[in-house]
Amino acid sequence: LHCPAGEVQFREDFIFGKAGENISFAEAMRQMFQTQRFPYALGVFKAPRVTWDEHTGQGDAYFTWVYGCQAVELTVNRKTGKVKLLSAVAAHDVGRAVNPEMVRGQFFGGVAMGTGFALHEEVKIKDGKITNLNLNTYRIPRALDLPEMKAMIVENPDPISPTGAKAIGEPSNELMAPAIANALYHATGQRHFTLPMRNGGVPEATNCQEGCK
Amino acid sequence: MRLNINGREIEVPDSAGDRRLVEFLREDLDLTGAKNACDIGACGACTILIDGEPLKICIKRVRDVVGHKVLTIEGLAAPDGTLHPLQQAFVECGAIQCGFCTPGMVLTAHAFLLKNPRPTREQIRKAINGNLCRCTGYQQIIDAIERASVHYGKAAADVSRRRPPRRELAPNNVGGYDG
Repeated sequence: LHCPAGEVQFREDFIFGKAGENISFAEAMRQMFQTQRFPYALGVFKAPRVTWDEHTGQGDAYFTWVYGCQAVELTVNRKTGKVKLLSAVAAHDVGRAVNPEMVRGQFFGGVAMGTGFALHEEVKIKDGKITNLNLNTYRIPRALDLPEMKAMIVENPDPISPTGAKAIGEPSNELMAPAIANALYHATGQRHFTLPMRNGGVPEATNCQEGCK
Repeated sequence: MRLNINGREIEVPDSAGDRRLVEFLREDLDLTGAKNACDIGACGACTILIDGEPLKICIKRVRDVVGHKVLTIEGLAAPDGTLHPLQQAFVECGAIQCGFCTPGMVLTAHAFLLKNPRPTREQIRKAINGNLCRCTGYQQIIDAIERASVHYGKAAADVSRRRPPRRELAPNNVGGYDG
């Protein structure tokens, strides 16, 4: 574009020079590939200070916060306690969705992994050894175990983050077990306090003592 | 012994007959698309197509496929590298995250769509139930298969007859085989 690197501007998938001449981002990448130059940039981001008192459990532990909500619809078999998920919805504040399709992938992946966590997955230990060592005994969700899912991206760019993005992946995973537990409570009146909640809602002795909630 | 892999006939010594097929493909033929994950036929990452049927090959030997047509993920794209419509749909739908399950998933879906070009989402779920995926939650994989299904049916016959590329087998690694 015949101008110093500092005067180049990026706007709407185009790269502009000082006098207004421009090429598309795709074209620029093609030229770089042809001349075997690697497009890279180096930047440094230092996270703001946070304070956290381990002893009192008080403080400003994180410099950004994520907000999210997940809901599931399910049925419980009265006899066997088998839980069948009918649908799941996940809505999360992700800051800025840099790559929306991948964000959706993180939603679905988190929901799926959280479903396994809530209903099937358990590391069984006998005499200090793990007994379910392979995927035939450690049961991760298969396609039929999962419902149709819906992802709702809420964009709320974070001013502190370099790209405006916050986080997604962990939140969508964490919210699933509570969502399923609440749905089970609503369906059966049974509160679950341990994971996995294998016996769905069928009455079984809960190990909960007085005062446990 | 002769094997037909991705449309090519290759000669393998009889001594290779007892080798595990997934190891043989990956280490001797450099066809590393099929992944060896659970080793016991539970996860589907090693799935390839034998005569158009998906098969988990971590529990199969090389001699098991003599006389059959073998299609691996390397043989699905066109010779010039153009992706198969199903592969393209996987890319467009974001159905790939870490990619470990993807070759097996694509081939299972390919075999399924050849048989049932107008599936419901529930039928797709049933079809890929044997393939485990830890990243995607299957949602976008099902989206991709649904999207690609328009390319099947009438067009499918051409796809399955297409001759896969020669460059898929690395000659230097095939050594003395008549490859």
